[in-house]
Order: sequence, then structure tokens, then C-alpha cells
Amino acid sequence: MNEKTILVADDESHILNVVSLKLRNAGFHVLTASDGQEALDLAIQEQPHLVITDYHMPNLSGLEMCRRMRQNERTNKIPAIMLTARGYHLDPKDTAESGILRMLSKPFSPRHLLATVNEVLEGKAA
Amino acid sequence: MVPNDRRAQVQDVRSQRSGHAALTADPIGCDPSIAALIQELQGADHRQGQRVMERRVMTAAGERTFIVIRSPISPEGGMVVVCQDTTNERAISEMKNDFVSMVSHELRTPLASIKAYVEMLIDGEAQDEKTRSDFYDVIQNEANRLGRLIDNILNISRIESGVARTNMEAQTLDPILDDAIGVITPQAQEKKITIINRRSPVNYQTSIDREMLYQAVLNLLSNAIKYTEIGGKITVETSVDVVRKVVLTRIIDTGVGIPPKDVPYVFDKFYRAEANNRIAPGTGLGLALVRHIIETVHKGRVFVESQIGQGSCFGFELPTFTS
Repeated sequence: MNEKTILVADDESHILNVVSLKLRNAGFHVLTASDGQEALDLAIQEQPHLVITDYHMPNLSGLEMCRRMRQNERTNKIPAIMLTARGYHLDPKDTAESGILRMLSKPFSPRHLLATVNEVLEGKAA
Repeated sequence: MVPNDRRAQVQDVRSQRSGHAALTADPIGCDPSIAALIQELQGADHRQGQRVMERRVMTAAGERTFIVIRSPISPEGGMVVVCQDTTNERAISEMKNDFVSMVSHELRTPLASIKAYVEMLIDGEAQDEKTRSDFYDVIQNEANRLGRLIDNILNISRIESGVARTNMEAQTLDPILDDAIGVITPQAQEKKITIINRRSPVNYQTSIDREMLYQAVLNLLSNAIKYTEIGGKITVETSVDVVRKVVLTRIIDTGVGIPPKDVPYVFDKFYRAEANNRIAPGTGLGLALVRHIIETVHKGRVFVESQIGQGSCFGFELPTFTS
């Protein structure tokens, strides 16, 4: 059993559900949020081991949420994976500075996402 | 066009097409920035051969973009300089790029769900019958959503180019509303939104292209769900105005509403209210298609009323059928 907690943020409930199930089946403890602000609050409160976030979300974008996590000492060491249909619009410098270690584009493979999660948690993506 | 001979005469042979910046024969009399561009071109070295360049010029009326083609015409130094104002073409091209990027995002979203859920089924990650059955529903609904988006894109271009074939028949609206509500209900249930029917007991026939009107109603309902928060309400209301001889349909939501400055433009193609763009992405095509279907195809009229934080009412009226 894997004790690690992962926060998943996406405003599309289908994506949230499918990612959560994949991670739960792999033994992770999963927290979910459907907008950027909710995700940020949850990250500060629960201090997960990893955050998987969409880019386009109501209230706060995934990028802005990660940026704010960097500015809070409770969350500034938490790595993030961004899962987005708009990855090509983002500046790699911005994502790197916001603690986003990997970018995965939608459509995505849950299998590949799980492999990426394991790599990031094992510190191979840094 | 600026034919430029040794006496440095500049002639304006601008075409009559609208939207072109004022380049006048007298460089001193026109916008100073354009005058400066003309003077710079006059001073250019004619021995350089033909040159094509793009220049952005800040005029009093805003930034304009010119394609400048400079061609020497005689060994003594005369040259023809063509300045083509491409500002509008550039704006259209940018709009097209934005549109392609929006459409691809919109297509990717349901496709992402379909692919992920199929892979989960293949990998045996859905461990009980209930989960598997939920997965099949998601795949089916997302495939339908993808189909609707493609229909929107195709139909708008068909109607606009006038090649859409219509099939008008005298019928009542109710069965179409029922079908659309049936298809959209899973999406509403996902957000715990209640759909309330408040239909007129009197049914008048109108001249309807069933497929198209169904699509228009579906677009209105799908928008209402998109912009209504979890637990909200959507009311589908019909009524008849016997004096004006029209059947009215209203789709009223308890959603976020539309900022007053955006209300007059929501039916325009590609128009997206900035505030709503943050809530849900979209192509700016759905409502434009609704207007086309109602006004161009059915000779009816669309309307909208909205209050921030209270909700929106999108509606349309169709003339009652007279044989």
C-alpha cells in the first residue's frame, strides 16, 4: 500500500474521476478539487506529496495556482504535473518556475500518467 | 501605390476597397507616421533591386500594417513602391488562428475523456459492473458531445455559404424540446441541475426544419448547463402570442449571467464574453449558429436577457404556421 497523497485539480469531472480511480487503484490517497482556488486551499491545508492540475480552470488557472504554491512555505516544495489541452501555449520558463516538473497533453493515457507520477515521486523528473 | 520618380512625386492610386488607411498624394497632409514612411521609401537606394517588407505604423487611428513592395523601374533611380494596407487581413488571420486553437481545445476535451475511459476499461481498472456501466455512459455522452461540436462547425459554414439544405415541415415544437432535454439530461445530472418544464398547453404548428431546430435548442440547453452552477435550475418555457402570431420558447437558467456590455454581442460569431471565458472555454460558434438557424432558416427572432449573478434567459420566437 502506497501512503502518498496526490491532489488532482480539473474542472472536467470526467477527467477528475478517471485520474482519481487510476491513482486509487495504484494505492495512492487522492484529494480532488474542481477549481484553482479550491485546489490551492486544499494543497495548503493537506500538503500532498504531488499535485496534478489542469491549466484552464475557473477562479484560478492551474499555472497561477502552482505559482502561488511556490510562494507559500507550506507548499513550496510540492512538485506538480500539468495535464492540459493547451500545453503548447505555455512558456517552459513559467512552468519550471512554478514547480511544474512535467507537462502532459490531453488526450492523455492514464497508464502514462501513472508512470509519470511514479517518476516524479521517485525524484527522477527533477 | 506610390510611383516615385526623380522629382519625388507621390501619387495615391489607392483602391476603393474599404478599410484602407488614408495615404494621400500629399505626404504632409496625411497622418504623420504614414508621411514618414513615404519619405523614408522615397529616400531608399534604388540600386538594391526589388524588396518586399512588412511595416507596422502607428497612426492616429491605431496601429496599421503595410506590406511594402519596392521595385526600381529605371536606371536613373525611379521606382514604384506599393504599400498595401494589410491590417484587416492580419486581424482576420489572427481571428482564424484563435478559432483553430479554440476548436482544437474543444475537440480535445471530450476526446480526452473517451480515450482515457477506453484505456481504463482495456486495463481492467473498472472493477465492478456499476463502474463499467458508468464508464460506457461517459464514453457515449462524450462521443455525442464531440459529434455536436462537429455538427456546429459544419452547419454554420453550410448556412453561411447558403448550401444548407433545409427540410421545412409544419409541426409542433414540443417533441423537439423533449428530445433535446432527453439528450442533455445526463450532463445536467452531473451538475445536479434540475430541468423544469413550463410548457404552454396550447400547441401551435410552426414551419420547422426538425434537425436544425433540435440543434439550436440543444446549443441553448448545453450553454445553460455550462454556465449554471451545481444545484441550479433550468426552466424550459413555451408560450404563444396570438396577436403577433408567434410561438415563443425561453430557456431560463439560474447561472452566472452575462455582463451588460457583452449582452448585445453574444450571438455574434466568435464573440466570447471575457468573464465567461474564465468559467468555461468555447468556440464562440454555438450561439451564432442558433441565430442563423432561427433567423436565417426559420425567419424567426432570437433574444436574450441577463442579470449578473441571477441568470440568463435565451429565447426565440417562430412564426405560427399559416397554410
